[in-house]
Amino acid sequence: MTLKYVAEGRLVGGRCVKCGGAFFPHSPVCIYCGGEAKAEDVPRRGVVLSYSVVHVSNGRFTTPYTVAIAKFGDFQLPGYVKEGSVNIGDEVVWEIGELEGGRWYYFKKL
Amino acid sequence: MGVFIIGVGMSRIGRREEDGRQLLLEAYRELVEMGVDTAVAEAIYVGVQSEVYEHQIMYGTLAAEALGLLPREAYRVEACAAAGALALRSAYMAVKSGEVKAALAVGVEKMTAATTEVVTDALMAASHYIDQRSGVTIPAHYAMVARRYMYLYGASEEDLCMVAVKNHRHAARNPKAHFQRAITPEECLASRPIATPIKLYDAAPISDGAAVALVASEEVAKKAPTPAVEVIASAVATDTLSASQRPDITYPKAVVEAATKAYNRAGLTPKAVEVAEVHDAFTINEVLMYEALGFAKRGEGYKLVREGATSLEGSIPVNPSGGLKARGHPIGATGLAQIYEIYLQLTGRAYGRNTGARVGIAVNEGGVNSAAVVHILRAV
Repeated sequence: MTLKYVAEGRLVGGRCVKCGGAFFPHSPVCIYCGGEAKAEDVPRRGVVLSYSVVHVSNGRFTTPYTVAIAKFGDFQLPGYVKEGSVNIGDEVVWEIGELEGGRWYYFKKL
Repeated sequence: MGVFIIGVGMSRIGRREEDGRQLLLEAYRELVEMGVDTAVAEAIYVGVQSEVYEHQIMYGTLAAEALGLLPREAYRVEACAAAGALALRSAYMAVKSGEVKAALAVGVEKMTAATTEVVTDALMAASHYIDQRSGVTIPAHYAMVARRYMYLYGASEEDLCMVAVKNHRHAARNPKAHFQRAITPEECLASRPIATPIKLYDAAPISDGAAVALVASEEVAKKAPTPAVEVIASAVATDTLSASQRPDITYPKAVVEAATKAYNRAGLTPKAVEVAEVHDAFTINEVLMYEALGFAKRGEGYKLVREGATSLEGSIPVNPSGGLKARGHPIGATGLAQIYEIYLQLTGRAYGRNTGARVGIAVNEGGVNSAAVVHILRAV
């Protein structure tokens, strides 16, 4: 389902009708409380919560590269950071494109 | 109904030429040489992380065959690096229920024949596909936890390196440890980056090894010629598969949940614990474990290392074996390597590093604290 959304240029999370929790990617069952969760688009702009520069990879990613966890509205996402470095608190946007051989999302610093 | 451990065994941990089967036998021989009758085991539970390293599943059958225990019940349990403690949990449940009188818990991993890239990839299977597709390795996950922790609470890279320094110092007294030499904070700080701010010396090594524990009912334990320790609590909890989905990535909720259940089941508070083996796959995680186990307040765990409280001579010795960091981290064996050390500590057999402890706790986790297994053991 996530890949179908990605093909449409969207990132879609889950919003629980019971506890209000927001999570990614969408699933009909809330990962926090088991309640019913509706699909909700992830906002485009976010803030970096943490990051790391990876020097040892699984062989599928060229090192060094940067990854981050960023918060977009209520949704937290892990992501690859394209073009340049980031710091905690930096604003980023997500985009969809080619990433290491597949169509996937990544972050870019604003 | 009481559940006891009446014997243990562990291979030497490190870069070994032997395969998983031979390592299992090495661990098992130590158990047999204790003089305990291993034939009392009616079931065998085996913790193994990955079939990638040896292209081997069916490790339950393999273990039963290798140890000469066919046709007993035997199967594999898995939660990445928590597999070893889950094997103990399974043996505990089997004995506690009365289904069997004794069971063997086994953990094994043969990793060093694989390249670092293969190991990194096999471990990434312990995260969510959103992490995997984004290139977030397991070290990168802990690195982001470490960076966030440092940002929130003011800890430094040197503070984290002090965990490695302590655990190497402990392992120097453990003849079965992967690294039996002390290191300096400067060596740690200068070591090459794996996933910033995690450096080589913040990370547990890729190791080969195996460990076993024989779990028995009170009736069997009373007849055994070996010293017994009682398993007074066994608890498991889970958290989101992707660490990114946690409101605070520095809060290991599954470990807190499992520890709380274990303390309640044992009727103990953290103050009663006299020795601990915790899951320091990366130095940051030992600090998080101090907080999750109630040894330190949230955000203050890193101060315990500086104060020396968790050293062998300290008020609450943590990882007297050297921990994952220096004893070594053969993934599926680690949970039982921790139990091996706690058994030695509670029976006064940890020669050169005895703490004299009567109550010990072991925390084994898999993923990025996504599955946590806590056991509390007491000397009899």
